[in-house]
Formats: sequence, C-alpha cells, structure tokens
Amino acid sequence: MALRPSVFETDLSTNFNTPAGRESFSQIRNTPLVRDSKNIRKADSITNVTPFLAYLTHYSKIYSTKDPHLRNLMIRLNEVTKKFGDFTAVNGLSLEIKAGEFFGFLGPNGAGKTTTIKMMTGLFTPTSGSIAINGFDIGRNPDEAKFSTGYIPDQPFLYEKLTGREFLYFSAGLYRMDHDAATASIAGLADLFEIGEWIDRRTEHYSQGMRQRIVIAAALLHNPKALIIDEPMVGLDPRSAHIVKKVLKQKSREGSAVFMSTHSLPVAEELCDRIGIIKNGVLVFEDSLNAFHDFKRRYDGKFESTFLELTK
Amino acid sequence: MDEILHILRFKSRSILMRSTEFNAANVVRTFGSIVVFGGFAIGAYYSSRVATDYLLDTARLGLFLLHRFMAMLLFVFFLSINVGNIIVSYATLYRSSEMEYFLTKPIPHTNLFLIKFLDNFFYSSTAFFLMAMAVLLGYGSHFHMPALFYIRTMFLTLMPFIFLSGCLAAIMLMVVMRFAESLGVRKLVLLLVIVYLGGLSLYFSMTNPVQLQAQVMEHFPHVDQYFGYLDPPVAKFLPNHWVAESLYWTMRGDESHALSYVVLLAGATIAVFVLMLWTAKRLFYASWLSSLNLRKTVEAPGGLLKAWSLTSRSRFEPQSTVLVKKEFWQFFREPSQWIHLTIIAVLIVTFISSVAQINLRQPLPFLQTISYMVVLLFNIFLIASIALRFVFPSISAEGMNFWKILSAPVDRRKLFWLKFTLYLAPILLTSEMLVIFSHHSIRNYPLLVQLASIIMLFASLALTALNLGSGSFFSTYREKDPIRVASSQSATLTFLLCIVYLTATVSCLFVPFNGYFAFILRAVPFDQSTVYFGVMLVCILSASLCAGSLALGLRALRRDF
Repeated sequence: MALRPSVFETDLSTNFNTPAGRESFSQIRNTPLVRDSKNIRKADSITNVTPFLAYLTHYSKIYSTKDPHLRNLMIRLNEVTKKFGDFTAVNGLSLEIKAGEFFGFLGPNGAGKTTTIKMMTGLFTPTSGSIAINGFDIGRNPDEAKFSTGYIPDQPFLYEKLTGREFLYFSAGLYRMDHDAATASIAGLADLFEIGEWIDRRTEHYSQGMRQRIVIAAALLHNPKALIIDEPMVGLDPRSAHIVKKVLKQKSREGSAVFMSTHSLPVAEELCDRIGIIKNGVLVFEDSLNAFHDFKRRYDGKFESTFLELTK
Repeated sequence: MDEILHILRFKSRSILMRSTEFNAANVVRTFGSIVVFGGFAIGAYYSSRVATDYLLDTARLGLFLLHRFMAMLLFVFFLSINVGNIIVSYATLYRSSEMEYFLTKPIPHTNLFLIKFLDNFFYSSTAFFLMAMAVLLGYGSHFHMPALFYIRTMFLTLMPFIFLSGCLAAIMLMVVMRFAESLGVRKLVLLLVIVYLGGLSLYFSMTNPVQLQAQVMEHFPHVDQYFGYLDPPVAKFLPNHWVAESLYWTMRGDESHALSYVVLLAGATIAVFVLMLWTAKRLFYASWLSSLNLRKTVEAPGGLLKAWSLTSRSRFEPQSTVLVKKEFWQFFREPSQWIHLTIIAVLIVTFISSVAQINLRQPLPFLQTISYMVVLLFNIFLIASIALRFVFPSISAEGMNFWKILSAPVDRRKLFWLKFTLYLAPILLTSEMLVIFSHHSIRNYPLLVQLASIIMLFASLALTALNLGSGSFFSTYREKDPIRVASSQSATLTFLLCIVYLTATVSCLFVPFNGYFAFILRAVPFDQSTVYFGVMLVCILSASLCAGSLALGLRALRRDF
C-alpha cells in the first residue's frame, strides 16, 4: 500500500501553530495506515512506513515544543563546514530560514554558494555541522528531509533520452506521488510554465531555457515546503523569468521557505525578504533586505557597489 | 593541415596529462591495463605459435591451406574492426559535445571529420593492433623470420588492412546517417545486420573450407604449392585474401609476388581513404544535421511497450516503478547500447548454436577434464564480457542527471539493488542457457549439468556484483558514451579481476573434476564429496566477491556527487 501523496501534501503544507493545523495533525494521526497494523505490515516498511512514522514522531516533537521559532523553522544550517582536501569551501556557516521566508544567497564566483546548496540537498556531505530541512537532519533522515525539499540546480541536466513529460512523471514517482496526482500536477505546471508545446519531445533537443522550465516544474510537482534554488534565471527568456519569479514569490507567500542563490542583484532585490552574502566560505552579511537597504544608504545607496564592497 | 595538427597536438597533450597524472588510482589502473593487455598479448603470441606449429608440423596442412585458413580468419577480423569502428564512430562523430564545439569554429568539416576519425580509429583499434602484432610474432617465429619481416608486415600489410576496414566503416556510417532520417534508423541497422551476416555466410559458403581442404589434400605431400585456381573468383578482390597471399609468397621466398599484393593493398587503402574524404566532404555535415533531426523524432511507445511508458499508470510502488522504467528507456533509446546489445545477442546465439554442436566427450580423463573446463571457462568468460560491457557503465550512465535521483528521497541502497537485480536477471538467464546448450553432448551426466548450473549461478552473481561495484567505485558521470566507460582503464582493471576470479575458479574445480572423469571413464576410485567441496569453494569465493563488490559499490555511491 503506497502512501498517498495527498496525506503528505496535507502534512507538508500545514502550519501546526494554527487550530486548523492541529486538526490536520490529528487527522494524519488517525489515518488508516497508522491505525491498522495489518496495513503497516503489508506496506513496504522501508519505503513507506518508516518515513511516515518518523514524520509523525517528528511533528509530535515540534508540536510539543513551546518555542514558536522552532515550530516555524524550515531550513537550519548549524556551523556547517565543507572541506575538499586542504581547501575549505564553506566555513562554519549557520543560517535559519523560516516558513514563508524568501532568502537570497549571494556571493562572488567560488564563494561556496553551490557547495552549500549541494550540502542542503544531500549531494555533498558536510565535513562538520548539521543541516535540517523541515526539522529533519539531512544526514540522519535524508529521505524525510528530501520529501520537504524542491531543488533547482544551476545546471539543468536532464535524462536526455526521456521526453519532458516522462521526466516529470519520473520526478513525481521519485517523490512517490500516485499517477492521478502526478497527472493533475503536471497538467497544471505545463500550463503555468507554457511547456505544453514541446513537453513530448526528448529533452536532448531542449534549449537551456526549456530545460530550466522543466527542472523548475519538476521541483514544484510535489508541493515542497522548502525550495532550494541555484541560479534560477539562467537561460530564461524575460517572459519565462517573469513567470518563474511570480511562482516563487507565490510559493513563499503560501508558506514555503525559499532559499535562492543568485548572481542577479536586481532579482535578489525584487524577490527576497532577507539576504546573506557569502565570501570565501564565510557569511559576511546576513539580515533583512530593509537592513541591507539601510546599510547601502550608509555606503553609497547602490546595491551593486555595496555588494562589491562587501565581497572585495 | 595546420589546424589538424594544432588540434591533434592539444588533444594528445590533454590525454598525456590525464594519463600521466601521478596518483594511486592512476597507478593501479595503468598497472591493471598493462597486466591485462600484456596477458592477452602473451596468450595471443603462444596460441598463434602453437597453432602454426600444430597445423604445419603435426597436421601437415601445408602452406597454401594454412594461408587460406588465415584469410578466413582475417575476413572475420576485418568485419570485427569494421563493426567496432561503426559503433565507436557513431558516438565520436555524431554524439560528442566536442564535435558540436568544433563545428562552431572556422574549420572545414572534412578536417573535423578527419580529426575525429583518427581519434576514434586509434582509440578503437589499439587493442586490435596489439593482438595483430602478437599473433604475427607467434606466426613468424615458426618460420624464424628476421625482425624486418615483422616491421614490414605490421606497417605495410596489417596496418593498411586495419585502416582500410576503419575507412569503410566511416563511409558506411555516413551513408547510413544521411539516409536514416528518411528510411528509419532501426530499419537501416537491421538491414546492416542482415548484410553482415549474409556476407559472412556467403563468404564461408563460397570458400568452403572443408571442400578446399579435401581438394588440396588430394595432392599430399605437395601441399605447399600454389592452388590459387581453387579460390572462388570473388575472394581475389578481398583485402584479407591479399594479406594472406602476401604472407604466403613471403614464406615461399617469392618477394616480388608478395610485394605485388602489398602494393595492391596499399593502393586500395589509399583509394578508400580518398573516397572516405570525398564522402566526408559531401556527406559528413549533412549527415551530422540529419542525426540532429533523427534525435528529434520520438517514437511513442506502442503495443506492449505502452505499459512500460513512464506516463502510464502502474500498480506497483511508484518510486521503484519509475526507476526501473527510466533504466529501460534510457538503455533502449541509446543507439550505442541497443546496437551493441543486438550484436552481442547475435554473437551469443552463434556461440550457443556452435557450442551445442561440440561433442565434449573425450576418451581420456585428462582430455575430458580439459575440454569440459574450457567450455565452462568460455561460458564464464562470455558472462564476464557481457557484464563488463553493460553492467560496469550502468552507474556512470546516470551521468550529470544523477542529481535528480540523489536529491530526491530515494534510498541509494534501493537504487543500487534495483540496478543489480535488473542486470542480474538477463545475465543469469543467459548463463543458464549456456549451461543447457553447452552440456548437450554430456546431458546423461546429470550431476555435471546440476553443478555447472550452480557454478554459473554464483559466477553470474559475482561478476554482476563485481562490475556494478567497480563501476560505482570508478564512476565517471561526465562521460556520455557507455562504450568509452566500458573500455576505460578502470574497466580493464575490473576485467583483470574477472580473469583472476576465473583462474581461481579453475583452480578450485580442476582436480576434483579430473578425479570425477577418471572415475567415470576409467573407474578409478574417487570420493564424490571432493567435487562438492570444489564447487562449494567456488560458491564461497563467488559469494565473498559478490558481497565485497556490493559493499564497495554502495559505499562509493554515498560519496559526494
């Protein structure tokens, strides 16, 4: 018996601080999958039940905490360091991003942005420190953490022998979405990103922008609570860029935490609530966009020159 | 010409820098390659020497028949080089991002073609050169030929012969790619397979080795003289015939006759090379553009395959389902994979039908053991080759797209086990079919069939695991061509391990099986439990190799991407 994504979706998109959230939590707790021991035995213990029970245990812990900050925390990096041999790419990075917050991660080339993102998505293992997504440690509970995450990489590599539609179904399957939910979600996203015309062609013929749109759609399929994005606007035409910005902002308003690495200062200024600037693996600035505006006013009033000064 | 040399200089430098980088992995890989290729070369040398000695001194076949049989082997060799070059050329000429990059530069297309052709030719023919040299040394040493003979034959006879085959392969590939768009690539490949198999069958029916031997042997003991009138007329136009003729006349001491065939071969090679350049000028860029269009045509899965479509509903658990379906489509939509699979399937069928004809029964126990062990070894060797070609590159084949699976909530162990199961199933099926057919002549020894079945089961497990684990450990996600992954130094090292495993298997089985056959054929007292003990040792060895390889592969899969 596969875990229906609808259960997950309810779970993932619920704010447990609200009465509705508490009601939703009790609904999840009373789902047949948990109550019926026969069903638990029938289900694949590794793929379905363990993450689900871990989810419930996790939420019961969060729900019982009195710290409202913890309840709302979606992404947490605690003293994260990544070394490649003698070279330290990221050095003692700590960050907290709340649900509904849009965080811009800036820095010059080679500052450690992509390395940080790769650690957050489980592609790299931190040398020290910990990363939690939606309260789940990416090292100890990778599957649970990844269920909450939608990742958009800087290079939109796709399985070239699959069509765009097949790739989207493939992505949905990886998040254990059932066929109907996947079909509905793909249809909606195909309309939203205007990919319907070429969705049935093999991805090896896609332009950079087409690939990027497919990758973004694939990241949003399972309605993630945390979006981790590396340079989302690369290769997008103005119209597509506009759609992507709108969608990301909308996701943030709906309660998803958005962590976006970008080189585009105007994009960061337009979308982000809070920004962090990393240089040589160390966070040199981290505050709200308003605080950054105050800071730049004290400097020369320009985002670009303030950024250049901070990363000099 | 300047730009060709310029590019070749930088390509050589890049290869040299990569291969001479001093680190532990490179040292091990280079050592492995030297051992494997050295071992093959020594094996080829001894086989050639022993075969020549046997045919001329023991079987007293005579020079004419020996060189006619060599012509037949050279024909098969010519076709193998030809097919190998077509497959590798497809990847290097039409699929490489390097070609896409070069095409944006102000370099004539013919020059680009030539650079990639040479790159591909030397890449795919190096092993053939090595083997040809080793065989030549074995053959020449029987006649105590001077060093000059080897140099002359290698550079003026065998190299042009191999080069001619490579040029023809490139011409055929360009023609196929040019017309594949309108005719359909699958139909054309099928046509090519039929043409090759038909050609092979026609050649052997024309040359008819059995009839030729009978006709020549009528003149015994004067079998060294020339019986050219027995050759079918078409054979005289084939390059393999020219090589054999040049060697025959050299051995007869008639250098002028030998030289005429060398000149004929060189002339034909130059002519075909010019024809290839002309074809490249006319067709290469057009065929490259066709290949782009060809990739754009998507065959929607129909019939039974529709159920396998990623977009179809499935009753099974979604994650495993999409992983399996993705693996299937990724494999069967990659031409270098399915074309190679088709060729290997044809070879397996040929091998099975040939092995089913072999009578394994021998009168002497030792000979019986040797013949039985050789067939068993060939079976395992075939499985090792299939695993190396298809299982070893399977993790690397995920390519840079692997980020999608690794960043999704997919247990990496599950992915690894899925791949293992998917590749094990057909390999196991093939290995058991080999057991059934290769034991056809000794089927009334049921114990042998049962034990061979168990041995092949464990060998399949061990070899699949070894290639998957090693492929995971040496994964190269940036390499798009699975053939290159399967012929890399890491793959060669893995193959060396396969050969070590084979040797260990023989060591465990030889003595007990010899005792068993002595008991059956000569009623020598024998404790049957020694056979069980030998097989059990093989099972333990295989299980250990399987477990170790899987652990290594799983551990490697947890590395940073």
